[in-house]
Amino acid sequence: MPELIITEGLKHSFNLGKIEVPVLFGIDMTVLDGQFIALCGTSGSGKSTLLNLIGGLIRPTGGKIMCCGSEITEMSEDQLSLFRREQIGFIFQSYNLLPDLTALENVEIPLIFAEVAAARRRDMARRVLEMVGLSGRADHKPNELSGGQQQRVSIARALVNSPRLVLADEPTGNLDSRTEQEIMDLMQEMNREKGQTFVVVTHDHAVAGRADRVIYLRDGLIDGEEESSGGL
Amino acid sequence: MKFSDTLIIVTRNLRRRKGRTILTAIGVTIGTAAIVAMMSLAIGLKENAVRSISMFGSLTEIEVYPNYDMTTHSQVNKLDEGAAEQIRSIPGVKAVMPKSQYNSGQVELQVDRKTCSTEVIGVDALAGINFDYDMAEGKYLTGGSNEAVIGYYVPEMLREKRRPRRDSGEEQQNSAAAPASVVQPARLSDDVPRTQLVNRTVTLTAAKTGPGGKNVSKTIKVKVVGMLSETRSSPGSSVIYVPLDMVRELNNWAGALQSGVSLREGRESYMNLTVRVPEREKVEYVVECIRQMGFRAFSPITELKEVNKAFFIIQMILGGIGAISLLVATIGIINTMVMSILERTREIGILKVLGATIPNIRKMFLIEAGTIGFLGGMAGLVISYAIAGIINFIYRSANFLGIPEEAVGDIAVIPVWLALFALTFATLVGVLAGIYPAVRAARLSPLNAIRQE
Repeated sequence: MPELIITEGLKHSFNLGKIEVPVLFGIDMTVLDGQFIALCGTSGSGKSTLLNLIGGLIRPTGGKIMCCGSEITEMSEDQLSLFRREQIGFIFQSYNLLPDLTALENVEIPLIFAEVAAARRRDMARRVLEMVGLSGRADHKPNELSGGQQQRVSIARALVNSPRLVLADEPTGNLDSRTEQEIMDLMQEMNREKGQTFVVVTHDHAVAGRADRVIYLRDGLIDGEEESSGGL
Repeated sequence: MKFSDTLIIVTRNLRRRKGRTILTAIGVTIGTAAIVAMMSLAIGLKENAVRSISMFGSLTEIEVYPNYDMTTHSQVNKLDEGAAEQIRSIPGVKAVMPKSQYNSGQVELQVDRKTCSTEVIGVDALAGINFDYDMAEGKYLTGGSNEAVIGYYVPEMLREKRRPRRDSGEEQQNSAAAPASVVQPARLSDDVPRTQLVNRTVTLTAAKTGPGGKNVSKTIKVKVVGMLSETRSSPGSSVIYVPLDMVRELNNWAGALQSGVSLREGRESYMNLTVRVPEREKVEYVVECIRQMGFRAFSPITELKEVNKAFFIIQMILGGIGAISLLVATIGIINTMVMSILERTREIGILKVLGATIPNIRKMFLIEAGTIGFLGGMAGLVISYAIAGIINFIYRSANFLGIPEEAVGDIAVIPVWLALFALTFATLVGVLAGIYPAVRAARLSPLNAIRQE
C-alpha cells in the first residue's frame, strides 16, 4: 500500500499574544492508503493539532506534510480550500452542522462548492444519507435529530464527495456507548467498502482498540504505536 | 461555487434575519426615495419650464422690443427701419421681420354672417420666406397687397353676428387695452366648430370714434392665403397678419382722425422685430448685441439657460440631501454586515472547512450587502413613485399657476433612466458597504472560527 500521509519533523506552536506555546515538537509519521488509524493521547498531547495540520486547517511552524500526493505546507489558503474540497472529509466532535439547514442540505454543502449541479447534488446527498441510515430524516433540521443522528449527518457530509482521507476529531466524544458503537461500525464499514483512509483522534481506548493501527502521542511527540489485528 | 447557489444562500441568510434586513434596507430606502423624488421634481419642473418656454416660440428666433420712457411713453431708441437694418448686419442674423400693430382700437373680422374681433398685425411679407412658419393650411404671405394669414384659433372664435350693442364704445376701449381677447378654456376644446377661412376673402372693419363723437369706420377686404399652425398661435386669441403697408394705412387713417399727423414710410417705429438666427449657438451672441443697442431682446434659449441654471442648483442641493442619507445608510449596512460576521463566524468556519475559498465567502457577503441595497432601492423607488404621484395630484388639483388645463404637465417626472440609475446606485451602495465586511469574513481562519462555541 502506498503512503497517503507523510509528516517530517512536523512542529507547531500556538501564538498566544506574546507567548509561543509549543504543541508539537517534531512528528515523523506515515499513514498508508486505506488504513484506519487512531490517534490517541491525553488532552493537550497535540493529537487534535496534528489532525488539523494534516487537514490543512492550520499551518505548521516547522516541518513538512505530504498528504494525498501534495506538499500542503506550500499551499496558499485557497489552494488548501480546494485540497480539502477534493481530498478530505472532516468529522467533528460537535458535529458542526449548520442549524438552519436540513440534514439533506447540510450534506449538500461540499457539493455546492464543488459546483455539482443541483439535481445531481440532491441525488448524491440522498444516497449518502441512505448509506448512513438516515434516509427517513433527510428533511429534518439538526435540532430535531439526536446526537447520534447528527453525527451520522456529519459523516454523510464528510463522505459525500468521496474523499480519499477522512479526518475525525473525537467523533464519538459526545455520544453514549451504544451510539458510539454504531458510529464506529459505520466508519469502519466505509473504510472497508470504499477503501477510504480514516484518521480518528480519540482518547477512548474502546475506539482506539478497533483501529488498524494506534499512534500514541504524549507532550507533542509520538510516544509509540501499536498495530492491531484490526476491528472486531 | 455557482452564482445561483450563492444567491440561494444569500437569500436564505437574509430571510433568516428578516427584521434586521428590513431595518438595514430602510436606510437605503429613505436615501433612494429622497434622491429619486427630489430629482424627479427637478426634472419635472425643468420639463415644465421648457414646455412653457417652447410654447412661446421657436428656439431660433429672437423677439426684439423697444424700451419705453416711463414719462413720455415714447420709445427710448426708435425701433425703426434703421434699427432693423443695423440688426440685420449682426453676424448670424438671417432675417429680420418687422411687425407693427394697428393700435387705435379693435378691428372686426367678418366672413358671411360670422364675426369676431381681431388683432391686426402688420408683417414684412417678403421677410416671411426666411422664417419657418408652420402652416396648418395654405401658405404664408407672398407679397400680394391684400393677402392675410390668420392665427390657428380664428376659425373657432367666429360667432353669428348680433345687433351691435349700445355700450360698444366702452367695450372697444377695454379691448384696446387688452387686444388679445381671451375666451373661456372650455371653448377651446376640439368640438368647437371651425369655419373654413383659407382661400376666402374676409372683411376687416376698423371702427373709431371720430371728431365730434361720431362713429366712423374703415373697411378693407383681404384674401386669407394661409393659417398658422397651433404651435405658432396662442390659444384663445384671434390674430390676423397682413402686410405692413395695410397697418400703416390703418394707423394713418386713425392718426389723421386724431391729430392730422400722418406717418411717412420707413420713419415709423415698429411694435417689435422678430430676428431669425438659424444657428442656435449664435442666438445668445445676437441677443447680447441687440441689448447693447438699447433694445429689449428675448429668446427662449436665453430663458432656457437661466432656467437650467436655477434647476441645476436645486438638483444639486436635493441630490446632496439624498446622498447624505445614502452615506448614513452605507454605514448602517457596514454595521449590520460586521455584526452578521460575528454571529456567523462559526458558520463561515464550517463552510471554509468544507472547501469554501476566500473568493467564495467574499462573494457571498458582497452579494448579501448588494441585495440589501437593491431591496432598499426597490422600496425607495416604490415610495418615490408614490411621492411623485401625490405631488402631481396636488399640483393638478391646485393648478397654482393658472395654466390652461391641457398645458398642465407633471411636475414630478421619473424617467426610466432615473429609476434604473437609482436601483443601480442603491445596489452599488450596498456592494461598496459590503467590501469591508466581506474581506473580514473571508479572512477568518477556519479552525479559529469553528472553535468559537
